[in-house]
Amino acid sequence: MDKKKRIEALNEKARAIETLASGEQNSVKALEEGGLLAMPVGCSTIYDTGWETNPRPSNPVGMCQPSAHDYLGCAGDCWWPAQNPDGMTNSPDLELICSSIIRDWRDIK
Amino acid sequence: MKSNYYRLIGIVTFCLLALVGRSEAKELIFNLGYGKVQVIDVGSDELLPDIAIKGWAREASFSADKKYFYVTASRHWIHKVDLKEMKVVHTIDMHSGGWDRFIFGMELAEDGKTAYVNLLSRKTSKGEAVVGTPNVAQIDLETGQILRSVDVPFGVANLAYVKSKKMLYAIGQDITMIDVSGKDMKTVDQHPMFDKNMNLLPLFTYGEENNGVVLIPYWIGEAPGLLSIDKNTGKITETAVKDPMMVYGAIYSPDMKKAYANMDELYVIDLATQKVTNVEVIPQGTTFSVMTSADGKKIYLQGGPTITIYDTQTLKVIKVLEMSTDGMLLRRITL
Repeated sequence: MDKKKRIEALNEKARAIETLASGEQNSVKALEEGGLLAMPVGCSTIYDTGWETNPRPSNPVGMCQPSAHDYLGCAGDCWWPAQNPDGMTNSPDLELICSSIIRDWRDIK
Repeated sequence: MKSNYYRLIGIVTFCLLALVGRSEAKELIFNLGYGKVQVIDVGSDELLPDIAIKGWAREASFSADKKYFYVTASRHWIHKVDLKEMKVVHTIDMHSGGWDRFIFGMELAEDGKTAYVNLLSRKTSKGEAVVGTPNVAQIDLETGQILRSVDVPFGVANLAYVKSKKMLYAIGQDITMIDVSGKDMKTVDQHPMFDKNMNLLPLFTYGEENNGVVLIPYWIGEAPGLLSIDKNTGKITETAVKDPMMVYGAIYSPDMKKAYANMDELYVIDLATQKVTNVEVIPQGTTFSVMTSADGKKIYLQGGPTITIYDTQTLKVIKVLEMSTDGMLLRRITL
């Protein structure tokens, strides 16, 4: 079933998100669906196994142990854009504050 | 009699020069880090002075004459490191002309003055986001000027230059072959992967240290394999691995009979049988880049702020280097 048909806007804000204001048009090309570029530039375009798909039955059960090993790697290329700083746009100088997350994480304000 | 004397002197001089040359040869591994590149002396496994750089390093290439090391940082700078001085002597920025251009893949061109880079670009115009068409460009390493370019599919993340064919392989969802021999760069062929459900991670590659072969782990579903691109011939080979493994990077043994691959474990793969012969859980945790010493006797695994060094024969940890920076990639050169 189409995902959009299963999700219903319940409040005013959600309905506003679904509805364009009068005269407004979709304007952010990179985020448009169905276009050639359906991914915001700056985030990785690389196919990855993903952190949730570890097929191993035994230890180590996580994909990245400790996760701090991967923190700056993901921050730089925006692989975890929601959970850590975005080194390509909003936090380009993260390495000046912290070049080793395990040791220097307290320096991040 | 006199000629024998001179011959003897000549031989002795040659041997002494050879010995001096040999003693001065230095094998180094570079750890691409954050705000710095750290250097390991492979002979002693001690750290040499850091090379300060601006930004977070991602990719690197050595010039053919071994005088310079080009490092991409923050996906838009290219630093030129003098390998004698061990410091950055020049930097170019691909952010220019109002465009943000991000580098995902770099290969030096044969002329030593230019490089090929895969670029993703963006800018804002009247408050709107504008995204450029992904392209592979040849750039001047002195000025950063784009000399020529060709559009490529979205998703390219690395490049491999095949000298004999004067062809650039752009590695993404598929491998796009670009003919760079003429005035214009042209896409001429494609090696399909996406339609075969191949899932490729082409970030940790080391063609120059790997007998000229770019080796990339892939998965089809949960079945792993190693894809190789021979930079000498252009041949692409897919080698299925018959045992489970989850890996980021891979590199051959010097005799190319085995491959070492890594993530949370170090895997040894027999390439004749395509079976995993050894698996060692890495005590320090997840690692990203793998490198061997030139003689293949040691394996270096980089993860977070540690580099774990294994003895190849016993697969025992012989040293753990505590680094002052997390890292992304290891590259090796003998100077």
